[in-house]
Amino acid sequence: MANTYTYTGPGTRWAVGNPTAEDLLNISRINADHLHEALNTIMSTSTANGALSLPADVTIANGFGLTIGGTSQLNIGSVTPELQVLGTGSPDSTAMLAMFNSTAGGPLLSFLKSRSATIGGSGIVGSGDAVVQLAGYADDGTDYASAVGMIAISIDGTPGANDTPGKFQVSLTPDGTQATTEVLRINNAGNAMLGAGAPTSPVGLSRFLEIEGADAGLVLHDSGGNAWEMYNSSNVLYWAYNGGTKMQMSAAGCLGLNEALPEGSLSININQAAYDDIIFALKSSDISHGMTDHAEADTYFSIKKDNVATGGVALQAFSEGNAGLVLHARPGAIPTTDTGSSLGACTIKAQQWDGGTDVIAAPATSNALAVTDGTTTRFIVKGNGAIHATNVTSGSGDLDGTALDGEDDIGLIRAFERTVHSDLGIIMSKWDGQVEAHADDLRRVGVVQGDFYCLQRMDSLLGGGVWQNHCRIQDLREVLDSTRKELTETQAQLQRLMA
Amino acid sequence: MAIIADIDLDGGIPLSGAYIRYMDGYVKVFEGDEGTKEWRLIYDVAVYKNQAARAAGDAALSVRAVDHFKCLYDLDTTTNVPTLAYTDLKARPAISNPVDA
Repeated sequence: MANTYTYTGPGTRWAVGNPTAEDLLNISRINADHLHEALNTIMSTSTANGALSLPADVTIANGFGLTIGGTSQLNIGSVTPELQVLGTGSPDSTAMLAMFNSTAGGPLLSFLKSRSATIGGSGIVGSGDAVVQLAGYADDGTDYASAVGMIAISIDGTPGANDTPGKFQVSLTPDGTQATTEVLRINNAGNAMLGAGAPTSPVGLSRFLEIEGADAGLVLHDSGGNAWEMYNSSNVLYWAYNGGTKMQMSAAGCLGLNEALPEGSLSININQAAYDDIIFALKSSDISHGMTDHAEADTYFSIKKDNVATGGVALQAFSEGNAGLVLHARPGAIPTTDTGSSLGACTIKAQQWDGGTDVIAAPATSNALAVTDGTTTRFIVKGNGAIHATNVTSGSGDLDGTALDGEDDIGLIRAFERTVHSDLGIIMSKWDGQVEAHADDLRRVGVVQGDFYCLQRMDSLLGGGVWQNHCRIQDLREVLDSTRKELTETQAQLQRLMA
Repeated sequence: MAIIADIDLDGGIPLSGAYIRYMDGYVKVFEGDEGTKEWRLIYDVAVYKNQAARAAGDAALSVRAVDHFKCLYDLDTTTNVPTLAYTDLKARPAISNPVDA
């Protein structure tokens, strides 16, 4: 005879005794609770009503699923996931993998993709096959089919035995849509594309980050909220600070600093806007020149506007030593011709605005080249090639001779006389007297022009003076010859009278 | 270590109690055309409005006349480079009333 037990239903289970499975199945009227308890007793030592603890592998046949927390499986669109954890709160909608041991290993959620149509079979995957896909869907108020984003790992390239390259992709749903778009990919070489598609490097970089988009770039924010942005827009590379473009480089290679449209085919343009200070500087920490009213101590060359309002360029060379600006002109061959179109190793072209859009040669009377000591102009080459040297402001008609070269005998003699005779030399005083006496005439014939004298006109004057001297010497010779002849005749007459 | 001194900012604006700090430097030999060799100490300093500004992390001021210097260097010296730099700096005409800080 079977044992007698009292069953009080779920919650308290058997009020009396602890029946075996055989006892349970020997009950005359079997209901679902009896079967449940019988199965529970067979497979486990479970004590809580409804809880199962299985001491062996559990399998669910292909085509069937497991739902935890729900009474039936839900669909995402037309897809019915076979493993579902459904809940109404965080804990009962949360999955966990945990490992408890003393090793460094951790829980693993692994995915496997095979092209075999048989579970447990073998079929090599193909390029692009998805191996891992983690997708997020949201209830849009109508269904559960709206995607928010997806993370996928796929085969990246042609696979083979022991050769399964992978790529990592992140896709997100843009505003206004329910389908995802790829926004990030890392290929099997570890290179990343922020955008859609495979990262590519035209120059073959071995490791890089590619950013693709209509205005693809980087934003570098400091903690104060200020941002530098570097981006490519229509194949122009921009550097912008807080939204204002500071520098850009065109696809042709033109670099513009504060210049939107650099001129030139391959050039650097710097637009200093309303600033007037140095626009370009070369520095060396080896140098400390001390002329800091003009440039920083380690600046040895700078370029700036010569006139803040009208332009022109001021080249400034700074040095602690004797050499300031040194021009090294090293052509393949220096011209030797003396023609109106001859060039030199160093050539300065002086031209002026033609009043339209072009320039013309420096006018004859214009100053094509001037040399100053920073305060006073000392040397001028006129547009017609005339060389004007030495200012004469020290006194009316006083040619101080500071620009005369070593071949000018008059200048040398004057300097000699001034030194030897304390500025009272005969030649000097005679010369200066003549200059002063004939200052207006000298100015009229172009020897003296403004505060300068013209070397060419001076040469002409001196040459004319030499010729005049020659003519007068010839005249004197004739007078002397005539006098000598008269003396000879007179002497002959005297001898005749004395005889 | 630093010095506090009176200086003129760019444009001639006087600044009293400027906090001037050695930043970096190096020693280099310069060879002259005649084969002469001179060892020089080249160093940079940073200028702050005052010591408090430096402590507060304020940016250094741009002062051309108090920025970058070069002085003779004795290879046999046992004095460290920052100390040499401060000694040279305090003798500079652009620095007035310098005191160690």
